[in-house]
Amino acid sequence: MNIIEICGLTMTYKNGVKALRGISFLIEKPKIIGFLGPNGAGKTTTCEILTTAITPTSGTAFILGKSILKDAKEVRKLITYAPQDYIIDWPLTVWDNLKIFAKLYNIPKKQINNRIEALLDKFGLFEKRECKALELSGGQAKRLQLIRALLPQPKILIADEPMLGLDPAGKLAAFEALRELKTNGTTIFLCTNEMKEVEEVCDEIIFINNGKIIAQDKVDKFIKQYANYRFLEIFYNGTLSSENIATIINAEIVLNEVGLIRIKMPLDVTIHTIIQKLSQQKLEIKDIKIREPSLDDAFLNLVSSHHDT
Amino acid sequence: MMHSLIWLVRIMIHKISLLIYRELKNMIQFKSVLLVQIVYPLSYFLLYAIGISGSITTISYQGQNIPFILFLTPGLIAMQTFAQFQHIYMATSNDRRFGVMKLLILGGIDYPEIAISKILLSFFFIFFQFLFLVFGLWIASGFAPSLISLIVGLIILTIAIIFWGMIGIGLGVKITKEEVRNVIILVITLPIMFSSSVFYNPALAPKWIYYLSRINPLTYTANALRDVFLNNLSQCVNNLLFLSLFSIVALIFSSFSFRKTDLPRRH
Repeated sequence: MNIIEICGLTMTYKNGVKALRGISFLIEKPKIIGFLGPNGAGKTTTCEILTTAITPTSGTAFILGKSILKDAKEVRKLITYAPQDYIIDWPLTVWDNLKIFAKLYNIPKKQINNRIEALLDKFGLFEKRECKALELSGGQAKRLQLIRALLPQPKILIADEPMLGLDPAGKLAAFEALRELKTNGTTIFLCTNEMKEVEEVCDEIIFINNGKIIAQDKVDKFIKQYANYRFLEIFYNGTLSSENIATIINAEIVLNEVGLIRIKMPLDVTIHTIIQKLSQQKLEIKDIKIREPSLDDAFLNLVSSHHDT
Repeated sequence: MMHSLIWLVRIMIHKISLLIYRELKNMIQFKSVLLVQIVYPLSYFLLYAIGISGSITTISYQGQNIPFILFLTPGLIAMQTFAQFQHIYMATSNDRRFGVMKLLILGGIDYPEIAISKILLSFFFIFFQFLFLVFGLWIASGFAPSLISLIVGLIILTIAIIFWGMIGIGLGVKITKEEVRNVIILVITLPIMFSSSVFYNPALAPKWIYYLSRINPLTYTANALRDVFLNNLSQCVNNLLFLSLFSIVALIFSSFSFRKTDLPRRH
């Protein structure tokens, strides 16, 4: 049975904004999916549709075979949702916020305290358990939201920008918790713009732009496909202009300073070839630094290519 | 069949008790809300009912002259049901505005559970306010209603809470902006209270006030309670019927209003 199956979802809001323009994709096995896209691409709308919070204009989706339209009640039992906005009972304590949802998720009474304690401890909020939620910082409130979504060990976790505002320790705890969830068989649908977190934890990427799915692939393949170059920084002494250097080695200039040139180099060109070509021009190379392409580069390429089209 | 019904009821009770627990916790954090539930009826009774009955000793009601304090106390009890409207409206609109209601619905809570939990919690407060005011009436005037009167009184109050609670939920899910909400509460409070029979007998007031009072559910609540206390059973049943009609309309309004929001769909 497929974990998530989305078939031709469209969403047009009352104000006429077309958030989704017929998106379809399939997730077959438990994994961590990074759902990427620029602001306003339709990520949150997709999340809200999958959680049954909103109804699509047309199309449908299935969560573990259950229709979001016909079996919404069943779907809600399979999913927990960590929303992008802060949705918290602000006057209540951290503990009460979690206890109420633990009870709502039908966690056995005997396990509730242990489960909450373990998660609070993992996310560094144990000391804050008796504080009112409104006394928490933004990052702490975000952690609280994530803990709440992790309480029931759901089949599917839909998390919309869960790491936004988290400090490095919070992110680390979140990564660890997400990996642990995955090993327990949970599929995590991570809606985000933070490329580092995607590279860190995601198995697969789905890229959405302007309400359309542009790409779906494994992280490394995605980077290879959409950022098929590496960056090279050459520190040199010599008389050749950087434009000439770029022509000689047949690459695109990204940065051009005195004695330093940063170029975008196709993956099939070896560094050895470049050094050879530059040496032939009697250019003294002081240092060379290489940066492998990142998800950020693939993201930017994909967004800019779609702006162009 | 029976087993699944029992199972469904148990789940519903679990969810309702959870919602009540949540609201109580919220109230405990906002101690002022709890304080209002005690101070409001107490100050009205001490400063208003006892104070005014010093200068107005009797009032004409249903063709008989009755002590003013006996007239006013059921009115004050009825007024507490209207006060619950304000609490329910504010709590609902806050839950809606901050997204908590959406999250609760996604967690498996449904409209009936939200409505019932709010009604039950209001009933809890009204129950004590009712007993407290009846006790005050007994101390101040020596009048003690029978046990049957108390039970019927509680039934009347329950129906009145359903009315005000449903209006509170219906408005709360629709109108969530704090400034608009506050204006609504301010604008309707005085007309609702003073176009009813809470403080005086509208039958003795100008005709237009009298007609206004006939479309005001607070009038029927106050009168039904008075009729119970005065053993006017046929009048009480009349008032109760009108009040029930109002509550049914409010129930439909609330359910319709809930469905017409962008909250997650009910199934």
